[in-house]
Amino acid sequence: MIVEITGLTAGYGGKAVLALDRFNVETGQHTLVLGPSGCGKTTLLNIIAGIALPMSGEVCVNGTRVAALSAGDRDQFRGRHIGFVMQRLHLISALTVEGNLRLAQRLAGVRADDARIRAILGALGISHLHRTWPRQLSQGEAQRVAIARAVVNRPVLILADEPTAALDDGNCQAAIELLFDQAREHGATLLVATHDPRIKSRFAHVRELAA
Amino acid sequence: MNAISTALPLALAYLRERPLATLLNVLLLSLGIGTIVALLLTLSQVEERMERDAAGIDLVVGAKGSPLQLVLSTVFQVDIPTGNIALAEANRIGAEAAVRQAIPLALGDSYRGFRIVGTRPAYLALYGATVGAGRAWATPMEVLVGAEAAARTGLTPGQRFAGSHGLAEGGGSDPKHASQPFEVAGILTPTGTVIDRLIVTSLDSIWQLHTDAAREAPPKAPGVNGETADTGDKEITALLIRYATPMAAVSFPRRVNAVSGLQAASPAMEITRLFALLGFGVTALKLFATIMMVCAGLGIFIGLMNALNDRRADLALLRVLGASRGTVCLTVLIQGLALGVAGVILGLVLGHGGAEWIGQTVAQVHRVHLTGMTWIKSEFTVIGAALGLTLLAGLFPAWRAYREAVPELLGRT
Repeated sequence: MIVEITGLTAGYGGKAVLALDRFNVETGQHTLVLGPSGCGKTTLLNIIAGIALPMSGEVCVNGTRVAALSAGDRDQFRGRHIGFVMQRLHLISALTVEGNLRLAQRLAGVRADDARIRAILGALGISHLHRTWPRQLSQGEAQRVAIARAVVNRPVLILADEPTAALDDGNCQAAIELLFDQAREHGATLLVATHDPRIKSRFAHVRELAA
Repeated sequence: MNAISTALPLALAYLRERPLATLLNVLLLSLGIGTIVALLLTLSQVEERMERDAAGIDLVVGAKGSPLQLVLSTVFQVDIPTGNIALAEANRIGAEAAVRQAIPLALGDSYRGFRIVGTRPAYLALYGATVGAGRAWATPMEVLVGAEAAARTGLTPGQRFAGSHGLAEGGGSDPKHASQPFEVAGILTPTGTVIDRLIVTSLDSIWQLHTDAAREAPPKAPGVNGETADTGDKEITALLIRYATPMAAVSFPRRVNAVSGLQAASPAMEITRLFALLGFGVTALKLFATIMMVCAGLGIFIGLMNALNDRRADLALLRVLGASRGTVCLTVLIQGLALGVAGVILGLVLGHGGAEWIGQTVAQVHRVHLTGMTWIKSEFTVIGAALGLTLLAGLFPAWRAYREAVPELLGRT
């Protein structure tokens, strides 16, 4: 079991926006969380990643009770074990593609490994871009760099928050395929939160959240 | 350690991303630091130099006029003298019980801008100057050339030259004493004092040059100090006096000032007065430089705050990627400090370069040696203040970065 949640309520400023009695994801069982905006999808991902703490309930990720960790350990745990892909494929504009990936390694406390970076960029077909600045990338290229960064530390869990919302149909399908490919390649479980119905058919496991 | 090795490259990348703002802040900071450092270096060297030149001289007795002018002209050899005093009067004062040593000086001639000073060997001893090449003077019109004067004029032992009447540099238009040339007896060793840029000779040389009697009169019998015993109507410019007891300072100057035509001036008091006169300019310059540094600090603060607002998405991303609050806070602090370090390095280069430049320029006009190739303790205060300032400028932005709530940032992205 990669994600195991029971009796969860979560929200901001004492106001609950999400209540989940049970939410389990088996290891390797790629899952889609579908729901309209405001249903608490992002909050769920934040809770799983340890970015936010639950108001009540139990959250276990890969056997670790995230909320029980200290703030520093939570940051470390997230950097080590969880890859993140966000709706806006935000890259650090002050760093090159390579620099962005190296930063992800450093922040996770993993030894900087240029061979690993080159291998991932190669696998995603963008090895020629390693010295490129983010502003010079096309949207498709930026998408690949963001995915490369999500998997660079060999995460057990990849969390993707609206990874396709800003993409047209062609790029949308390509992005989802890349995510599946990379998840398979690194043995990671994919957990995608979206309101985008275009990718629903790609998942065997779908959990719908109500508004 | 790990947090720093992560935050440092990121902080430098952020500074590189905004080269103009970075350059402006570093430049502003370094100009402030440079101004203060150049000022401190120059002042400390001028002060040190003046103290060395005035060491062992408690009082100067000369013709009435400005006491500052008297001290400047006779102790530091930079201003024109206030006038002459009668040798007989000087001898009487020098013989008083309160006086341990009285060294007479006779000024008025120069050679290519270097002053020719008639005096006694005690003047050499005052500055610890010894004869390096050649020998001491034995007869009138023989001179000893200070180390720097020798180097600049190329005078060597045995060489003859004609002095010019007047102290002005060049002295080309002044009448030359061509009929009575000086002869170089020896070159003095460098002392780092005023004597290095002087040409020193016996009092007799000066008198011989300037009295009509010298033309045909037979040489007189030597008296005390090897000078002609007869004081006649001979004159000197000033008397450098060292007291026998510190108590002499109380009443001795008053007794001198009571004599008509004479005045006594204390080098220590005149130096203090000079620096008090310069004080306003120095304070204004220091204030100006401090304002520049504070502006730089403010610029860094505003720059970091703006960058923080523009990079909120980065901040969220860093946290998502596993950065702790401490690491993002450190990234902001390091940006400020890096600007401080760059400003300090550039500022020290500018300050020392500026002092060296001032030294080169002043050396040509006033023949005073200043250099930027030296360190003084007060520079560390400036360095500390500058780094403290940049740290302070980064403190609030860093705290903001530390406090930022990531879920809300993510909600906005």
